[in-house]
Amino acid sequence: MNYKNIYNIAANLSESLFPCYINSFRNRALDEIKNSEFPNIKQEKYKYTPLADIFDGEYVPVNPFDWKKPAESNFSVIDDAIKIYTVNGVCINNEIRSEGGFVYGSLLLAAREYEEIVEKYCNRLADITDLPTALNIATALSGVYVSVDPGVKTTRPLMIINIIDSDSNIFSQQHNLFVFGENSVAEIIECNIGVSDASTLTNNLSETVIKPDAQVNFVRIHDKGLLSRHVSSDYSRQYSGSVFNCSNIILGGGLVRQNTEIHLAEKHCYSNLYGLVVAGNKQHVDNYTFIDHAVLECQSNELYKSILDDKAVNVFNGRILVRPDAQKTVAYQSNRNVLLNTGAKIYTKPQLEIYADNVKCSHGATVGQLNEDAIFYMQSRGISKSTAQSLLMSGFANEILNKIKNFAFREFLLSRIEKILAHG
Amino acid sequence: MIKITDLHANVEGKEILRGINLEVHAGEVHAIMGPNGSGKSTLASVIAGRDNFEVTQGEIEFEGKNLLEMSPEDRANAGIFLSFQYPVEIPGVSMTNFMKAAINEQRKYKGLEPVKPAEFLKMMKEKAALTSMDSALISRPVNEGFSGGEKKRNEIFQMAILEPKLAILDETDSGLDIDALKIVSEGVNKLKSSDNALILVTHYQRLLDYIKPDFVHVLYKGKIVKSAGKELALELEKKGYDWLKDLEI
Repeated sequence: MNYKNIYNIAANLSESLFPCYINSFRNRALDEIKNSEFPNIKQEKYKYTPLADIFDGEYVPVNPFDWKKPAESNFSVIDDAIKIYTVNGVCINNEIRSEGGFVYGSLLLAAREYEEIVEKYCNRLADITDLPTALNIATALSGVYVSVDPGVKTTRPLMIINIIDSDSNIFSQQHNLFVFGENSVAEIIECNIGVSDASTLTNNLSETVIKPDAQVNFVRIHDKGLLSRHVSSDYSRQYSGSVFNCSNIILGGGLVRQNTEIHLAEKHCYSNLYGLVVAGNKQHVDNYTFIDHAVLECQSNELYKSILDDKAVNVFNGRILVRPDAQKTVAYQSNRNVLLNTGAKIYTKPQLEIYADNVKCSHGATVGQLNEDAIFYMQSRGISKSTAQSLLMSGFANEILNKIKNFAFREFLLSRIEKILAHG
Repeated sequence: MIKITDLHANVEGKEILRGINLEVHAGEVHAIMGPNGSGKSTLASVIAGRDNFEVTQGEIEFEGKNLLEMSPEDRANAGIFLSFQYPVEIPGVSMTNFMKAAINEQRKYKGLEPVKPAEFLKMMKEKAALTSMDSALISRPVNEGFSGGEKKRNEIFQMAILEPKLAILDETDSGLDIDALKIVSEGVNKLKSSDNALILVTHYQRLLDYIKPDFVHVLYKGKIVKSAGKELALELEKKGYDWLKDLEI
């Protein structure tokens, strides 16, 4: 079955299954899907990654009651982290827990136990006119809920380990909600991994609310098999004085489309958005970012880097909107790419729309090869050419990895990247 | 130690070296001087193995081995060191990782186990002190944001770590003020022994006040046109290079 069948099933689900505040969004999303086409190459936002063909493919729906307990994965390297697992989009925690300052569990349970918070934010940050987002809102049943109470400064990271584990071509979705209370401090590490070699499709949605003066580090990793397809649409909203460091690290996956939207809703927000893509084979990675400077005196800083080998394709579309009221905005964007092979491709598109006149904004994109002078310099110290190349590439990646606060995880990712690059 | 015979080399089809003959023995210091564009740096690069130069004729023998058949890294591991005129910045790669990789490749070449972390740190510390290298620079990315003097000092620091048999210092004095030049030269002099050799490539006599050569060679239009003792450097300083124009080459 394809997404239309899934849509039909969802459209016929009884409204009594959901709280009424969810139903109003579901109905809007269902209408949106009915009245629009799935993105094809004619749509600017999805020009290089037309999703219509992919979502039209044949998939098996997930049976939410059929899952194996996940094995300890390499990604659970951080001993002191609090861990939540989802299997094929289903959160396997059957209760809402409170640990290390985090409240976490399945969104479906939270919708009952924390109805007030869920009602206030769930579906309200997402852009319902975006078709993958609409499909998720209409048809996804659950996901992960995480909140940190106001003033709580957590010290251990919370890891969300999303595993795709199936022998068949499943279509999985999850809808996550993160709410960080006023003046709280937290680190989230989301790992999207697969123990499946099937042609799976994942369509995830996350909404992240960052209340005034909260400080949040969010690291998202994609490292699935070469046949997997993954669409991730992530919407965040920052309130006054908050700091949000968001890193998207894409290493594996046949196709990864990562939408990252950050809405700066109140004054003095600070956003750092980082991305790293390491891709080879025929991997196709597409990062769409959108930073919305809606009010004055906010700062955003965006840096995306990629290392591409073989016939990998990478797309970077970085949109920054500075609205008329957003005076004294500071917004920097940079996209830097290294192509190791003539078959690899990068499409890079900065998109700055500035409607305020007193702002500091810059953008830049570079595409290049590894620096031959640096390679010879290292060779002249006895370092072999291949080691020199991998040192250079790790150095290039390090600029992003260094932004990750957790030392153990950073070291783990670096060794993972070194391993990926050594195969090339 | 090294014997260069009738060496010819091209860059982009243009002949830069046109028959170099040079022999350097252990314990010796040779200075190669000459006007800009005479081929001094090309000679240094060809010995180190830079691949944008094409050797069209001649031989380089290093301790009985045919150097021209070896990769740049093998040359380095066999004991050749080039101090760059323009040391390269390598963003994201720390000096520590860089030197650890270099030391371990050298040890692998010699059939030794990788260096132990404690031993390595001790070595870095000792050599930094020996060459007056600011230890804060060691944790930074290679040459990134280093001043001109710091970059050159870093070259000598690397030389101290790798302990080459033959070091070629390519215009090490360029861009250095007198104080920096003194520090760099002191470092080089401390590393000098009867087992190793030095080739100093320089435009000016200045460096030779601090590092005393046994032989001075004048390179002009890709050939060594004159060789003598250190008094030749002083003569060049007085006369300049204009007299070379009258030579028939």
